[in-house]
Amino acid sequence: MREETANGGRKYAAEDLVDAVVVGTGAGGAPIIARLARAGLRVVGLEAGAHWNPAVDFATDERAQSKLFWTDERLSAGADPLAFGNNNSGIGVGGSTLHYTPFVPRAQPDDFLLNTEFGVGRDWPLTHADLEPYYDELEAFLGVSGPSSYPWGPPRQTDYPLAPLPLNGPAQLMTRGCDALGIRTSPAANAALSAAYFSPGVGWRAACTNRGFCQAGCSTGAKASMDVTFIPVALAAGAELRTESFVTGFEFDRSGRLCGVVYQTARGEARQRCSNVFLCAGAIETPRLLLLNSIANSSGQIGRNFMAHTGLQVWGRFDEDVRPYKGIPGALISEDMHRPVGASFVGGYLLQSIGVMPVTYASQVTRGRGLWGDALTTHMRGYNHTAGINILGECLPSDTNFLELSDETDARGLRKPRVHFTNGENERALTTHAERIMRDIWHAAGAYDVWAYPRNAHIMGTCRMGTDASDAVVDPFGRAFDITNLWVSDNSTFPSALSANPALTIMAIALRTADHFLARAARREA
Amino acid sequence: MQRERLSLPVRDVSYPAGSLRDLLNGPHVSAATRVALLARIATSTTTEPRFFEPSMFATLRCVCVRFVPEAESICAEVAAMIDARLADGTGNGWRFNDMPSDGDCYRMGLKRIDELSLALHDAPFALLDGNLQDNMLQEANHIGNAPSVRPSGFPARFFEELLVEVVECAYSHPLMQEHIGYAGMADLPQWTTLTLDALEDREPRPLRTSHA
Repeated sequence: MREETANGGRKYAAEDLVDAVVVGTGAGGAPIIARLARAGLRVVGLEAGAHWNPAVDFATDERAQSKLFWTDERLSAGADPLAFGNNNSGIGVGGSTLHYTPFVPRAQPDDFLLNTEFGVGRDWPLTHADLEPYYDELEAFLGVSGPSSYPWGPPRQTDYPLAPLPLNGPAQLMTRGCDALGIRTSPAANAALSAAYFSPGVGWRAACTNRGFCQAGCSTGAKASMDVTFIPVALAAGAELRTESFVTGFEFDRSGRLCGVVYQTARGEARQRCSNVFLCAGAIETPRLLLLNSIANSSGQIGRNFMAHTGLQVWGRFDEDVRPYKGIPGALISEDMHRPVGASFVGGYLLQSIGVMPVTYASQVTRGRGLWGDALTTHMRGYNHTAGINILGECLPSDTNFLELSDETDARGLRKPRVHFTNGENERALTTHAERIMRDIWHAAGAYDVWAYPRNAHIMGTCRMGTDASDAVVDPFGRAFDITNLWVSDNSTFPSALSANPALTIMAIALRTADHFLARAARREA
Repeated sequence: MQRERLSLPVRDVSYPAGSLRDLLNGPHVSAATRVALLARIATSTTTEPRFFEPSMFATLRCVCVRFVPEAESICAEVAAMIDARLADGTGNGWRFNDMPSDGDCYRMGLKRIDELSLALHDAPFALLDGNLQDNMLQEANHIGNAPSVRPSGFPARFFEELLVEVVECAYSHPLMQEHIGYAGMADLPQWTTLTLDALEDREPRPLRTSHA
C-alpha cells in the first residue's frame, strides 16, 4: 500500500478550515478533488479503504482481489434481489473504478429525455450538450481507446485519442454472429490504453497488456481508474488524501450549514472543519449516510427511485479455442438496439461482447443453472471455449424499488442498508427482446449450449437531481436543496438510468459540478 | 505462437496435469500472483476449524466433494476457506433479505442435513455413500429453496448459497484452474495472441476431445 495509508503526510489539522471535504474517491469524487485542488482550494479527500500500489499489491487472482469490493453487508430484498460486493461497489482510492471494465460509451442525447420521448420515466435537468465538452475532456485525459468512426449517436467533435484495443475471442465471435444477422458492431470505447499515453499531471502510462483482469484490478496502470489519473493530479496540486477514513456524521453551524465532517479511523473518531462537503460515496452509501443523519430529505426522496441496469448475459460454447481470460473484456459494442424498431418497451439497450474470469463464470453457472457434481465439472472444463454477450439496458424508476435503513446494525454499530429491487414490466419486456437477439447472434456464430443469466448491474438514483425541491434531493449541479453547502456527485443523482455504462457520465457530471462550484466561488456566492 | 484447429465438434475437453507447476516456476507469473496462489495451495487443513463444530465441519467437507467431485483432493482446503471466512466474520457484501446471517445459515443448514440423514438413513451424512449423499443434497435443494424458513428446517436459499460458495472457493484453487486449462494468471509480460484458435506457447493444450 502507498504511504498515505499511514497518514504520515497530514497537511491540515482538524481545526483548520478547509474549503472542501470530499467523501469518496471514485468516479464521482476524484475528479472533484483534482479540479478544486488545481484551482488552488484547500481540499481533503476521505476514503474508507486503502491506497493500493497496483504493481505490487494486485495479484492476477480473483479471490485475492476481493479486497477491492465493498463488503460491508447489504440486505437484498424484492423479487430480483441485487448482488453487491464484486458487482456494484468498490473500496479503496479509486472506488469502483478499481474494478470497472472500463467500458465507456457516452450516453446519447435521447437518454436524457426519456419522459419527453416516451411519456414515462424522467427527463434529466441537463442535456447531452451540457456534458459533451466534459466527455471530450475526459476521453482525452483518461486516454480512451476507441474507433475512428462511431456508427451511433451525434457526430463527435473530437476523435478518440487512441486506436481501439484488439478484439479478443468473444468479440470476434460476436462480430461473426452480428454480421450474419445484419447487426452493426464497432470496436468499443474503453478507458484502457492501446498505446503508451501521456496526460498532463499524470505522466506516461504504459499500454494495456491484454491481461483481461479489469474487473479484479489493473496491475499495470493502463486502465484509467481514478487512482492512476485524477488522484495523482489532485495530490500534485496539494490535495490531502486520508485513507481508512469512514464518514459517519457532520457538524452544523447555527444557520444549519455544514461546518465539519466526522469520521472513524483505526485510531478512533476524527473531525475536519470545512466550508463545503461533497458527498461522493455511491448510490448506497451516500443515501445511507444522509438517512443515518436525518438530513437533506425534506423532499422525502432520499433512497427512492433506485435503479439498476438490465444486465442480461448470454453465454455460449464454441468449437473454437476462445480463451476468455485474454484481452479487454468488453471489446465490441453494438448500439443498434438503442431504440429498437417496433419494440414494446421504453428505451433500449446496448450489446457488448464479454470475456470472463474463471471464478466469476463458475459462480454464475452455479447460481444460474444450479449445476453441481459431474455436470458442473464437465461444463467447467469447457471454460476455454466460452464466450458471452452482455446487455446494458434502461431501467425505469419505480415506487417499489428503494433503499431504506434496516434495524440490523453492522460492526460499526450503524444500521445496514436494505435495498428493494424488482424488475418491472418494462425491464422484463426489454430483457425478453434482448435474450432473443442474443441467442440469435450466438447461434449464427456457431454456438451450442447457449444459456442466459438474468442480472442487473450498476446502481443509481437514490438522491436524484431535479429542478423542484419538492421531488428531488439535489439541483441540476448536485447541490442539496436543503443544505446549501452540501453537494452530491455520484450515481445516486441519476434521474434515469441511461442505456450506457455510468462511469464516464459520473465523471462528466463531477467535473461540471466542480466547475459550477468554482464559478459560484469566483462570484462569491454562498 | 502456434495455430491449432481443434477437431470438431468439441463437447468435452481436459487438460494435462502439471501445467500450473510449470507456470508458477516460470517467468510469466507476477510476484503478487505467485504469493496468492502458493498461499492458497498451502491452506492449512490440519488445524481445528475455528467456526464449525468438528462434526459439522466433516459434513461440509463431504458436501464439497459431492458438489465438485474433481476437487475431492482439495475439499479440506475448500472447507477450511469457508470456516476461516465465517470465523473472521467477513462476507461478500450482501445477503438475501430473507436469510439469516451467513454463520447462522451455515450452522442451521448443515445441522439439518445431518438430522435428515440420521432420520432417513440412521447415519450422519459423512458416513453415507456418495449416491445417498447426492440424494440427500437433492432433497435439501428441493425442500430448502423456499422463500422463508420452512418446517423443513433449512434456511431459504441455503442450498444455492452453500453451492455457490463451495464452487467459488474450489475454482479459486490453482488445482481446479489447471483442470479447466486456465492460464490467465501467467500474464507477464503480456498476451499478444488474441485470435480464435491461436494459442501462445505457455497456454495449456487440451489433452483430448470427445465427440458428443
